[in-house]
Amino acid sequence: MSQNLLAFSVLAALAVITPIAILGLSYVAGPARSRRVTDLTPYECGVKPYHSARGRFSVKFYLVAMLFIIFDVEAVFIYPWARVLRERAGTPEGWFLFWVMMIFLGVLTVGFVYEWGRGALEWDR
Amino acid sequence: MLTYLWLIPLAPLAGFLLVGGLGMAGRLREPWVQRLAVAASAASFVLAVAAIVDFAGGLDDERALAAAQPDRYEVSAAGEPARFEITPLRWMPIGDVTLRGWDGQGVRRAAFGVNWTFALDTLTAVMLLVVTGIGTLIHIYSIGYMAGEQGQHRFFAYLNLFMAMMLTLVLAGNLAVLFVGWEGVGLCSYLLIGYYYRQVFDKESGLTCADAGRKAFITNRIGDFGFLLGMLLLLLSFGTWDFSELAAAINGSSAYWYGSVLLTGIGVLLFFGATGKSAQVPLYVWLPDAMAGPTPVSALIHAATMVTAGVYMLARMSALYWHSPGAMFVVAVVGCLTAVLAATMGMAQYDIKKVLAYSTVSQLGYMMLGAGVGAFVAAIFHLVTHAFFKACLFLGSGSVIARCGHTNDMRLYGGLKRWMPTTYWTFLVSTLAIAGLFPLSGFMSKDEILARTLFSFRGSAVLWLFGTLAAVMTSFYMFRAVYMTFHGENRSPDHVREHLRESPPVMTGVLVVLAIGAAGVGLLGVPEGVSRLVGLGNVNWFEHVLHPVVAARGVVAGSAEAHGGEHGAAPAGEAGHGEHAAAQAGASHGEAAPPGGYLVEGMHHPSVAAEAGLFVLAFVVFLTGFLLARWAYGGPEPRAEALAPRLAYLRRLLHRKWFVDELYDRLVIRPYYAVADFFAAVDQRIVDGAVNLSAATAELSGQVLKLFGTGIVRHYALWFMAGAVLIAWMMMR
Amino acid sequence: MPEFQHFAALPTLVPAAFGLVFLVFAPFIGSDKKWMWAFTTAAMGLTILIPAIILSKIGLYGDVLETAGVAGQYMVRTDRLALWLDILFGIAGLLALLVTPAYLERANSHRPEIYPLFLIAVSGMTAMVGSDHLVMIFVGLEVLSITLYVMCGLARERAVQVEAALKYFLLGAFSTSFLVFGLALILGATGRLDIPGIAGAVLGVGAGTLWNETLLLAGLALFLIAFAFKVGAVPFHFWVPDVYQGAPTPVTAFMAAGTKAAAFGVLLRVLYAGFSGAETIVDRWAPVIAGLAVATMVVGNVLALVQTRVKRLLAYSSVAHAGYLLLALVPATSGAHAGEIVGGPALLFYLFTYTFMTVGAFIVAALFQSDREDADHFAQFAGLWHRRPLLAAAMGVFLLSLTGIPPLGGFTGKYVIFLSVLDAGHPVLAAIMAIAAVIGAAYYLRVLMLMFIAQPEEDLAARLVTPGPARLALAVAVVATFVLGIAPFVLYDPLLTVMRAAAF
Repeated sequence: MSQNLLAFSVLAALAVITPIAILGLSYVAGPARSRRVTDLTPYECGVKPYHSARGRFSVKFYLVAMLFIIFDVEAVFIYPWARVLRERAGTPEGWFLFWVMMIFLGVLTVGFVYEWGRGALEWDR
Repeated sequence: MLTYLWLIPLAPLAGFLLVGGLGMAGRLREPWVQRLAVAASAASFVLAVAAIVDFAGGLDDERALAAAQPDRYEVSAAGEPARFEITPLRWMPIGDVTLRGWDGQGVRRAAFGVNWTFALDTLTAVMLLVVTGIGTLIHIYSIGYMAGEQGQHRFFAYLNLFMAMMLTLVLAGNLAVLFVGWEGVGLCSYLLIGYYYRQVFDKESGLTCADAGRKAFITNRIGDFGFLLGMLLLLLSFGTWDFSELAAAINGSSAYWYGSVLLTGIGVLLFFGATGKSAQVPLYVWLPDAMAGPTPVSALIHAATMVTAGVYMLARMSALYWHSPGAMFVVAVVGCLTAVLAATMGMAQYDIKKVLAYSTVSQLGYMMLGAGVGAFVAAIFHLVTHAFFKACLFLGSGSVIARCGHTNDMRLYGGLKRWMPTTYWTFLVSTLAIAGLFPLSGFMSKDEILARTLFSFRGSAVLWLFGTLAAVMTSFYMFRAVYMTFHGENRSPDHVREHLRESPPVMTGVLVVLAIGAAGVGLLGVPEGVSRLVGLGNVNWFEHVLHPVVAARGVVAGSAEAHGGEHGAAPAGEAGHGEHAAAQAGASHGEAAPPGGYLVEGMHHPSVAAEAGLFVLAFVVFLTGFLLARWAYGGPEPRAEALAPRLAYLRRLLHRKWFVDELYDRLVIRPYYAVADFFAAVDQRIVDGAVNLSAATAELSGQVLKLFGTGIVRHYALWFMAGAVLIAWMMMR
Repeated sequence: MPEFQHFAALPTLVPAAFGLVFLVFAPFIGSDKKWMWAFTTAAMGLTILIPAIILSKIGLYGDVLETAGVAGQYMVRTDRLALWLDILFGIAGLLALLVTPAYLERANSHRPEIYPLFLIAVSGMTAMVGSDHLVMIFVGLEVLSITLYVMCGLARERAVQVEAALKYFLLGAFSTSFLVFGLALILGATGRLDIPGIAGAVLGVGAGTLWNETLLLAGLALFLIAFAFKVGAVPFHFWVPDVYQGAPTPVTAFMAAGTKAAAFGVLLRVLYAGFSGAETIVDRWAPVIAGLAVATMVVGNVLALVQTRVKRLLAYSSVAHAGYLLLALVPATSGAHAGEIVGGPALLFYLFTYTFMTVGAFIVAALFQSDREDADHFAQFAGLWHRRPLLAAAMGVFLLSLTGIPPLGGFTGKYVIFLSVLDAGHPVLAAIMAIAAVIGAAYYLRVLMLMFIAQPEEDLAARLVTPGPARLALAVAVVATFVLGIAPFVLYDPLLTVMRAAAF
């Protein structure tokens, strides 16, 4: 139990403290709870909810959402790449960077074609 | 061709697989079974001849090859006897063994690995020719003998497998490979003895052929126990099983090893294995019962080849035996005892195959006697000649048996000369050969062994006397068989007599070839004593070829030149190499031995008069046996029958084989069963109980552990976590 | 930019490229099209061929081919260890592919995606073992794992497969989190994620220059936990029977052999090259490996004893074999090689023999597939010998080999591991291994007895079809099992040189 363990202890402590802090903060700093029924409804005016929010809805929503996230996240990669590429454009390294991204996009396209072909994008199937 | 040495045993192995596999599947008809099997055997013969021709043409190409691929090829050095080794496969890379320092070079670790090595030298070449040549002839003969039998594929497949194993045995470059062949031929022997496994072969005891096969196998296994112990002791002493390395190790420190107790122990243990395989006292009992097998099998396995494996092994290990006079003495005494004992038993049998079986045991005894007195060449030579005449005799008896309603009883034969002339003449020639009539082959080899027994420094007059006595008996029982079978009145039942005729050419042709061999092959090795009588020098070609391989070597330096000249048996050109380097002690020329020398190899050199006397004696021996048999069995009214009541006791003793089987039953088998019963009880009550208990424990813990496998992922994650905590604790405590 | 040896990455790139190309076509073709299978099989053959060719030439390039990546650190490292394992992955994939069409037909499940997925999984494996950078290893592992999750649950309409896939996925994700956290700690402790860098830091422990040894040990602990999961070591083995049972049988075969080999390849490389430098570190992880090995051998074998279904039995047997393999990783305690893993060649040899015998056994099980739930129940195997002698003989060979009966490959494999354990100076571990193997014999022999002695209850075997490719796969596996048993040196001798270039 020497200084060696210090860093680890700090890390472990942080790992415990952080989630507790987040939950605790939301409890402390969040809006005060109200016991009134109307406060618990989504909208205090307008359409009344006609069944539970925990009801089931079509798995297709999840599928589309997941597919969206995948492509969304991949697309984010392209921004830093584009910036670096502009700096190195014209050099051999630039071309290397270019083709690397093309391969990446190619893989992505394969995934896209596959899901399209499998009918994942068709709502009515 | 030498580089394809490994194909020689592979050819019959392929035959075995093809014939056995296709035959079992029912896809091969009888003629093709026979053709394939014969072709496989003949192929190995052709390959062997080609390899030997190449070998005889010098090893220069191979030496270059060995330099290029030292892992695969090995060729003996220029001065050494020619030897070619090929290692087509690495086999068991064992690693290091600890040598106990029994070889006087300190405790040390030595690399040890067993490779699948085949070796060819002149000794192997001789064996190769005998095995493939006679093997092929017997395959051909079997076509006729087995005609009309059901399920021949089994017979021919086993026969081919036997060839493969026997060739492995003789081609082996180390003891491990030899042992594979050694066990393999034992297996084939077992399978073939029990070929008619349902048939009762011995009406007195009601034993079936399967029982006979089992007897052979178990007896052999007893011998193998000793053989294995010898092998392991060799390994612990030398760290190698390679024949050439072993020989080099022993010869290299000759003075250290000479007379060593360890070496004597190893030699006796290995020889114990040989007594099993080569049917010597005390383990010979299986061979007469092995006659339950089909007759070609008796000819091939139990006369010409397998049973001689022990003799071959002794010659192969000659370096060891030369350095152990004690082990050699045991070999000689056992061999002599076997020769005499078996000959007495052979005199009183009525079963023609048993007569030949005891004769085989007796002749094997001669070979052992020869090896034991240091006449390895003569022993191997007798092996070769014996292979010819005994194969011929067995096949002749097979020809008779096949025509006489498949009975082996000589009392139901008689006068067959009339119907079966070819069988008769070939049988007669072989009988003359085995009985030792000059100049037939049996005389040449037997005379050489007996002469060496008398004159070699390792021999003795007593052994010689008994050997000569056995020779008289040999002549007697063989002519007895001839008279009872081929002469006199026919005693067969009528229905058999009506159909008596000569065997088909495929059988008689083989008989003729073998008879010619039995008559002529002796000329390859005319004993020196005989050739000197007629004023020729040493014309013993066989000795010239073979002697360097089995010669004593590595004795104290300096003695070779001094005494090389005294050994007339040495081919002139080789005396200088020191193979005969025998420092001598005691005996006639021994006074000239240098101080510190060892008696290794050599013999007293008899005068020409003594040689002539022996020559005449050999003829007298032959004649005595012949005339006795003629007197007793030759007449129209065999006098033997008249004599029988008076000699009833002796007859019974001999016929029942000195009651050795009964003795073994009382002394070994019954106590063994008693012990076995005891341990069976212990095994069933205590050991099995413990085993069952532990098995139940394992089963029970399995059932308990199974409870953890709930199929619920949360639980799995929990155990995962527990394990993770445990590991983290182990790593970080 | 460091010098490139581009073809260092070929063993990974080739299956990946082919897998992706074929995957594009998968949705558009009917399930009865054989060309997809044929092309994938050919591509799998190529993925055996490429490492084999590189292996035959590798000496020309100095034993190690490397390709640089991020920050000048080598990301791809192709040495003999990687190449031999690449060949093994290819063999496992090929054997599994050969029986897949027959399986799919009998299981009435038609998804041509499964073929290219085999290729992609192989590319993941090759990436894992062909790198000395932990990030690359992680990426390879994820490619492999995610592909396997999909392959396990490909037949969405079959509940057992979905269950298997989900369990595998959940627990796999769980273990992955351990791995990532472990990598983070190692990075924190050493500042490096490449094995040479880590090895340098570990040497620093010996020299007293690494201040945060505990962090390093924690990272290594998490890493070991993650890989203990991947190889199915006790107590991280619970997923194995459920997943092996549920997954399509060819996939199970491929997983049992391939995944295990990849994980052991990584463990061998990381422990041998990365964490063997300091005695204090070795003293920490060696008992963990030994403990895992003992627990895995014993529990795996004991649990297999009480199974009544062949696939489950083989799954537990696979756990037990992971234990034997772990034993080979226990470093020597004394002698010239103290602190070093001496069982490398033995481990690799065993992986090869294990591949042939276990894939072979699973192939036989795959042929039993039907729409029925209990297709692999023991009762179905009863009396197989009387119905299908050749099939029963092949299964007999595999089971005897798994038991460790000479002259089959399983025996020589156990034998070399046994020797290496003794060499490493652990007679007690060797004794436990022997005892575990004896327990193991009981359940293999039980199946054997059923096949050869019992009478068939019903004539399921008569409905068995064994198409040509499956026969070929079985024949190859049987022959290889025999060859590795009779002439082990054909493989073992080359493997002896493997560890030479695996360290740095």
